Amino acid sequence: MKKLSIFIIFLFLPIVYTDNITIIYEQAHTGDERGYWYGQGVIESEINDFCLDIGDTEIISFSSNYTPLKREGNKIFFSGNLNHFEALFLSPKISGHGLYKISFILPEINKEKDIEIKIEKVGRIIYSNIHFSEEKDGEYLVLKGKTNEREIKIVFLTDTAYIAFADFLAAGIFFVILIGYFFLKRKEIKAILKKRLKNNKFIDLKEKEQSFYVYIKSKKLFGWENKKFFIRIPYLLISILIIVFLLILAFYSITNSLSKIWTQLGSLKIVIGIGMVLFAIVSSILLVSAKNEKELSLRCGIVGSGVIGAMFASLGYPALILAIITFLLIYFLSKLVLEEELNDHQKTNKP
Amino acid sequence: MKLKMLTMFMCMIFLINSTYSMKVVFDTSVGFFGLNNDSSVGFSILKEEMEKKGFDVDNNIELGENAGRIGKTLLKKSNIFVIVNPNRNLSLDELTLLRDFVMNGKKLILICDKPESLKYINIVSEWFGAKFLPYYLGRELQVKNVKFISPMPLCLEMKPEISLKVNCTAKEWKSTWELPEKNICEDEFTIFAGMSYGKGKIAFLGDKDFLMNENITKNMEFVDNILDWLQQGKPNDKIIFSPETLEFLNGKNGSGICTIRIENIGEVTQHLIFKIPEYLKDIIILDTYDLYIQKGEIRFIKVKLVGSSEYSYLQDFIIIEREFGLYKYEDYIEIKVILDEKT
Repeated sequence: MKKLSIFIIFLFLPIVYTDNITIIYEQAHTGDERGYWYGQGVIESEINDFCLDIGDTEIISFSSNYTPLKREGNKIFFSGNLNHFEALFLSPKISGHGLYKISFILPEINKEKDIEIKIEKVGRIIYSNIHFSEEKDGEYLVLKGKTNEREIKIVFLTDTAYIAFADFLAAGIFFVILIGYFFLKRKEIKAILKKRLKNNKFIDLKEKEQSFYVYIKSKKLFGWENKKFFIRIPYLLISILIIVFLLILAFYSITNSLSKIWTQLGSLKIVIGIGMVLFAIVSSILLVSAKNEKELSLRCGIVGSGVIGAMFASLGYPALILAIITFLLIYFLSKLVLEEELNDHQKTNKP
Repeated sequence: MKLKMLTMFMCMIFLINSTYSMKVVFDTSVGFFGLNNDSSVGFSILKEEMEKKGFDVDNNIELGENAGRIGKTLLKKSNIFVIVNPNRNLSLDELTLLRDFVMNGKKLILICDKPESLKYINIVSEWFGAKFLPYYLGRELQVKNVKFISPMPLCLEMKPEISLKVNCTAKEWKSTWELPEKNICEDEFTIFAGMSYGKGKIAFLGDKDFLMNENITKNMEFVDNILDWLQQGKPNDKIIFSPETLEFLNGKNGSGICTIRIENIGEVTQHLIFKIPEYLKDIIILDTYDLYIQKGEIRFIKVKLVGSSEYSYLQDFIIIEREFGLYKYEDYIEIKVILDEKT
């Protein structure tokens, strides 16, 4: 009799309503590493007597004015008269490392659902089976969409993973370019290296020290010359400042982005290590085998712009612009410094 | 003078710090959340209200602790640790940590109102001499000023310091999602109990739904009482009744009146209920049976003896039930009625 009455109640279920579902995914330490906790969800609907299919979720609390009548599998039958039902639910944990996958069956009262999913520290959504609009809310990415789908599938990269991924990709491309340049100039490099190894004259420290000393002692930064006030731009100083700035920038951006995921990198750490050593060797060979000052400036520019471009690759196109600016800056500054030094050297060596 | 002021200032800082540093942590490792959820079924108002009273309410995630298990550092940061409807078995290590946590003077609150969580919560509660029972006491249950939503009763090994009990019929409760049918018994059931354990305290609560945003406003006084007990312990509740013995000389058709002086020298307002033994209800009549007495207040109650020759000698007690917060005590005033043969 009771079953029959319940059946009759649900036979005359009213019209079409929409479920409002909100789920928040917070980053948290779970187990031994940092990942995501369960989804913290709320489902609400303007309805009285109904059936809630909990899907893959676990109900934490629900409106006090509703009474659960019975459960059949995942379906829970409720009765109430407030015309506003709400329930907190826990959705399954997200799986992954850096690249995460949300995949579960949503709770459902009505077919149509307005969904809002807030995920902390998302770099980029790679895949989603539901069309969502995206907006930023502080540290959260908010996905909003309307759907009749039961299953939800989202693949995303965390911001740290996205930065690391973009950096690795850009570093890889830069390394390929460097190797390509190295390959094209291999004969020239070989000849110059052979010659310099024979003469044992990579760097003439004595000469450099002397020219630097002369530069500092003999040059006035500002003063009067021919009744005109002059300010001399100390290229060397500016270059040193820029190099120091770039080094600090490179150090912090690399260590910061890596420190967050370093423990999760596993055997990739060895690949990164080997890559860095190879990059250092190739760059050094390219720099010491420069034919003249102009080529040294060019190679310095290529190496410097490559490092900066790879570091800020996660920015997308701006990283390319940054790399070009860095190249021009390094190229022209080092050219000017080298030319100035050469002039100084010639002047001081005049008879 | 300066030293005095400095000492006072330091004391004030200490007092402010001691109030504000009470950290309440709701454990997420057992699958509970909702402290930051402002929907009608969330618990954000509870958090706000507690924070207004100087508590610092957090969970594992907010503290940057492991959200998947109860660890040493998490408990170190907590003064009051709350476990609600666990959805997993706590490991032996976690249980040992919790026991040591309470033994060393901290506080633990165990809340369960789901038959599905019983097997998990009882593993913890049994370590502290209590067990949640799979009984359904009704969808809505008004106990004094508190409206509980399908609460779950408790079975205790020891007499609790504070408790909240209700008389009702219990039904067998197998699942939150099924309406219970089979009646088990009618009895007095404990829905809330608090007791000391080692240097600390533990509270057991058979309902979490009354803490939800849609219900908490009406029930906050009860929550305050629990927190007061956890934080401060029993306040001074001394009441002086005089005289301690009421003596009547009863003539054949005679009657007599005397007055009881009641002075509340404690620091809490108390509710007094006077109970006369059933067989004396027609002989001894009080001008009030129920009164509230505030701290420092003095009240007088007239006790009237209506003459009865049925007993030549009578000795019994007036029972005074005292209630304040979650505390409940009984005091006694002796009555002696002696038949005066001369009259």
